[in-house]
Amino acid sequence: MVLRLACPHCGPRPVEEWTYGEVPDPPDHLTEADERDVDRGFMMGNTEGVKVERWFHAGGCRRWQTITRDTTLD
Amino acid sequence: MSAPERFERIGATRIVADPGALDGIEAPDGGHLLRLAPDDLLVLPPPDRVDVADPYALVEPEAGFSAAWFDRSELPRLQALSAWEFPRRRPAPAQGHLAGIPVKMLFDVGGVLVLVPATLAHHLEERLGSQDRLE
Repeated sequence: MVLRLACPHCGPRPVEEWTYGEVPDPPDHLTEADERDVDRGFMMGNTEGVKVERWFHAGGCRRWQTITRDTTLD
Repeated sequence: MSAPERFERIGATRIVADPGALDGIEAPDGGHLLRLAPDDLLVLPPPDRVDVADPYALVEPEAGFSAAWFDRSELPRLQALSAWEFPRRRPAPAQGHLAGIPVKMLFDVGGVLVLVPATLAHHLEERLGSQDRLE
C-alpha cells in the first residue's frame, strides 16, 4: 500500500516524492542542549487524528503545500 | 561517467511570475507550455520574445533539462516504473517520479516527451535500460 498525498497542482503522488515539513519544537522541560537536539531530530509529534501538515513536493512542483492528513488512516 | 545516449540537452525559457500573468502566455508555434507550479512556467522551445503581464516577472533561459521522446508503445513500460497514474487526456502535462527520478512529462497522442534534470539524465537512462535487460 502506498501512502499518497494530494498535491493541488500535480495531483495525488506517492509519499516518496515529498519531504515532511514539521517544525521541530522540543518541549520546554528539556533544558540540556543534547536532549533538545535529540528531540528535535528524532521525536516527531505524530499525534493521533486529523492533522494539518506542511509537505514539500520535491519530486513535482517543488512547492510547499498545506495538507490535511488523518494519521489513524495512513 | 558516459553521457546519456537517448536524452539530449534542450533549451527552454523559464518564467516565474504572477499565476494570472502566466495564464495569458501562449505556446510558440509547434512548441509547448509546461506549468511546473502555479507561478512557474517552462516554454519549449525558447521563444524569440515573450510578453508577460507582470512587471516583476523573472524570464530566464533554462538549460538544466535533458529530454527524450518515447513512443506511445513505450508508455506501459514507463507506467510500470511510476507509482502514480499517467493522465489519460491528450495533450497533458504531468510531473512526478519516474523510476525514482523527478521528471516532467508532456503527453501527446503519439507518445510522451520526458524532461529530466540534466544531471540525472544518465541515471534515468540507466534505470530504463536495466528494466529492458530484465524483460
